[in-house]
Amino acid sequence: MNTSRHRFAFFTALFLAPVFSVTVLADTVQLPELPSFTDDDFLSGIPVVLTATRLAQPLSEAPAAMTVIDREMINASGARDVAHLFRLVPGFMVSQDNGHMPIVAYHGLTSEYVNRLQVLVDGRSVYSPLFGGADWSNLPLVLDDIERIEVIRGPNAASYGSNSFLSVINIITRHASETTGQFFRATRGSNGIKNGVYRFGDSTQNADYRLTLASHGDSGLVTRADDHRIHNLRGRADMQLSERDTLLLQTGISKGMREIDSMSLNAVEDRKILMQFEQVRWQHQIGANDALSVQFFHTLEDTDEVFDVTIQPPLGRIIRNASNRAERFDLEVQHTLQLSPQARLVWGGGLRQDSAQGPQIFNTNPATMQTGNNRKFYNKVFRSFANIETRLRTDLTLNTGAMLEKSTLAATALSPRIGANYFITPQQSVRLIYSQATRTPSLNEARSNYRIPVEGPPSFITTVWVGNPQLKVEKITSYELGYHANLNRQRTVLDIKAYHEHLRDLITVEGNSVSDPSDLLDRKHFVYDNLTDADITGLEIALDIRPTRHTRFVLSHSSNKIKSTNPNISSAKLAQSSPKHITSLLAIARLPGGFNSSISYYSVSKSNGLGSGDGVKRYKTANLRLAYPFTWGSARGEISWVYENLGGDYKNWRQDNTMTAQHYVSIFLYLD
Amino acid sequence: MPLRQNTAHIDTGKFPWIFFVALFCLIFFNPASQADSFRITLISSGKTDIYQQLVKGIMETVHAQVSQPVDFNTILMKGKPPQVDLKPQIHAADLVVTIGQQATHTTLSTKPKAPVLATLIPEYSYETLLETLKKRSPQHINSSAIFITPPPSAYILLAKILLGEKQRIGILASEASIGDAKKIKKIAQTLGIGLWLETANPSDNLIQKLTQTLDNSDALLALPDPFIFNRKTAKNILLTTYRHRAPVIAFSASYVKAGAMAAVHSSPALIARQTGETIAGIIQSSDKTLPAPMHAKYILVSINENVARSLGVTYSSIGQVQQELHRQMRSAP
Repeated sequence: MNTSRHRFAFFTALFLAPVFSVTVLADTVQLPELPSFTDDDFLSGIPVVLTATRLAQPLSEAPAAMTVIDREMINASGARDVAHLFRLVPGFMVSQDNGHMPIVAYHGLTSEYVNRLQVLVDGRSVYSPLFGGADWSNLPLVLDDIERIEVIRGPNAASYGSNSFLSVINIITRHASETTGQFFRATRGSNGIKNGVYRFGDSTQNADYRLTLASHGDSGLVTRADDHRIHNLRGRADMQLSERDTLLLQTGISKGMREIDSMSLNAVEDRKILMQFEQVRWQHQIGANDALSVQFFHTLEDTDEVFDVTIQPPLGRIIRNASNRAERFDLEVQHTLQLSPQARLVWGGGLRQDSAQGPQIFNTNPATMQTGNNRKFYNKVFRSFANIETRLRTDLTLNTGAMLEKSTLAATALSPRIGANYFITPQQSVRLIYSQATRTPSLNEARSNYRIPVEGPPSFITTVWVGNPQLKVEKITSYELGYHANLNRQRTVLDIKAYHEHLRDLITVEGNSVSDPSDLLDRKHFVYDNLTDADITGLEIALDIRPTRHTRFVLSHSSNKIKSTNPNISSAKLAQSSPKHITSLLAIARLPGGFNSSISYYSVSKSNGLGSGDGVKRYKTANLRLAYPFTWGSARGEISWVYENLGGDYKNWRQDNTMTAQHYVSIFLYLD
Repeated sequence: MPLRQNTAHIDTGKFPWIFFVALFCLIFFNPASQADSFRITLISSGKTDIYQQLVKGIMETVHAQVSQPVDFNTILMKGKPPQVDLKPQIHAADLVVTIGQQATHTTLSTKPKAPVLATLIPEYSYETLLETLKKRSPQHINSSAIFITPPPSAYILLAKILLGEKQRIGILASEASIGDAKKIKKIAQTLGIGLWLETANPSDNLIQKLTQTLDNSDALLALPDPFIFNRKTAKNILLTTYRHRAPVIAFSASYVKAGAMAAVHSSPALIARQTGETIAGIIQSSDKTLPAPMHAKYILVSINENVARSLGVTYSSIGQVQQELHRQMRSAP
């Protein structure tokens, strides 16, 4: 380099700079504004987004056996409704009371009204205030909006409150920012299968929102009169109020018709349903280790179902009005606090008001024979809860929690839980869990008085069932030994759960009749009571393997043994209320030519459900799905074909429920 | 070995005459200033500790490796364009070393006669700058750079080490990183790793594109790309990927603190070392030519232990992951 020339230039410039600076600067090249990306983006900090309070506990440290149904599984399962996804979860029996009433049961001992599972959609309990359990078909929920489903297999009252009795299902829908653009889906198949979805989502500066409009329906089972058609409208907005505050607003409504074929009345009628909800959740990040969440929601369920039939003389005209209306208001405050790098506390409280009414279900005036009683019955619940998650050592995590609940319908109950997870290696852990939970009687079980007038002569009242104000809460004590392995860098996840459940005071109506000579139809009626005790021992295995990038096998198996007593039901029947063995397999593979294929297999040993359940033989069934993803201009899409019930007809839950092969084609288009 | 440091702090707007006088005196009357000393003008984009540490580190490395006299004239900018003319100092040097984007931007826009070695600069910023300069004034620019980021292979290799080769890796890239993304895709193919590459324009809905990427992959490689990963978008990106339970492998330690699972990156001290070594190489070479632009050679791995644990990702130790990364990078395709 010519240093002397440089020095001269520098020297000259030094003295001439003040004179020529304007010229020199004008001589420099004007550069465009660079994107906001400088060395500062690498060197200076970004605010902490995933604070310790936001992070979810890994499955290996959770104080419960947990199954996650992700979007890949949802798509591959070929399921047309949420309920059928639970076939993929160990221990879950998915049956049908008819074509539009799925039964999702865990560990048996249930009628078609399964009320020992808590079901949440985005943290909002959809457990029915009137009958308990979730009315799966009515939920304003669209499969395409679901992000994932977490199923906690085991009592979890300490975290989710009462009725989180045998299991908790937590359905999580997609954040509104992830569903912007337009989405269309059309499904058409045999047996009247006709579904449609339209979704529109958009973003503004600080908010994302979407609206989903959907309709689903089919002709039900070939052996039943059970058509249904339900329309859904659902909206969600996720707003960023400030750096620390977010607000979730959701609302949804479902409205439609479900055909009911009454065996006792030998008639068919339409049940008109309406379900709606509104939900607000405010989340505030107080500090790096401290977060607050306040949630309020309201749900309304309205059913309109009247059978007006003339039964053979001498009985006359009977008007069975099963219409009902139930409502829930719920407020919950939750505070998450990272006490130290090793300890996290989640605590809070909630208030809930459930109410229900029905002209005949709550008919309290048998003397006047009048229907149209619109008195509301209430259950007010106060709950407080706390759970501390402590990492005692890098290989030992302890979860200690409890829920205290006070309600109108039952005595104050405390549900404690303690769980320890010990890591044998960083990839393998064993867990030991002791937990207790309670289930509060539903308004139906505690307050109903289902009386139907029969117009004679002679006129009289027939009573279907009677609730029992003296009911106690159902109690469960559960002991679980689990093993969780996350091998081969998450390509193989194995979870084994061995458990013993000690159930006391289960509320049962079946067989518990009281003589009623004034009821000329039946001469008796049924009363709810805490009549069933049970001990269930079992084993559940879940295995998720991804041998290659495009193949996946999700296997589940469960076996159980029920020892149960009830003065009116034989122990043998109670033991058979859950199939002894259930196996499911979902196999996903990519085929040449860009096709995706999956097959879901489900094998259920013989069972005999309570309530409407009959003894049904072991069945094996499978669904096959073939899909072809494509792009069309700027749109992405997929066309898929699903063949349901490969392997022939079988009986499901009831002898008159014959499941037959059917198939459908579905196409979706997604425009950003 | 004589090593002198002349440091000038330039205040925007006010340019003290005393500075010229001092500089003049130093250049002409300092007895150690000999005609054969190699003059380096070091221009830093900022004057914070990080930049000062870099300046110090560069000088120490040069000092340790070069026996001939080297004059350092250091200018610390305040991170925005100076309102004074740096041209004389730029022209008086045998080599101009610019630290950070702003210094490079300012220096190259003066059409420097001396060769310029830019350091601590994002690759995209450097290339955009050169492109613009070439369009406006087609004369030859004698410059090279040491990028702030590691070579593209580092990201995919870290993903492989932490997640295994059977994970499907997703990349969301705009024009700023599509070059790197394509290089990574090739490497992924060689390694047998599945890679989903989604392209986005600045006008696209970013979260929508990210969701598409995550629908097709198990983890996200966040490449340095100002249109996609910047301070405005970081929060939503980290929240969305976490909702998908997808680990993020990022390009800076800040992202790891904020919630990315891991990152491979350099550090000011390591960039200083590499810059010092490169300068020493230039001084010691016979023709004093600049080497070709290069990525950060000395790299570190950061892991957010809580995020990794929550996502069920296990690893032996950060040290071992780093060693393994270095080993694999040496034999990388």
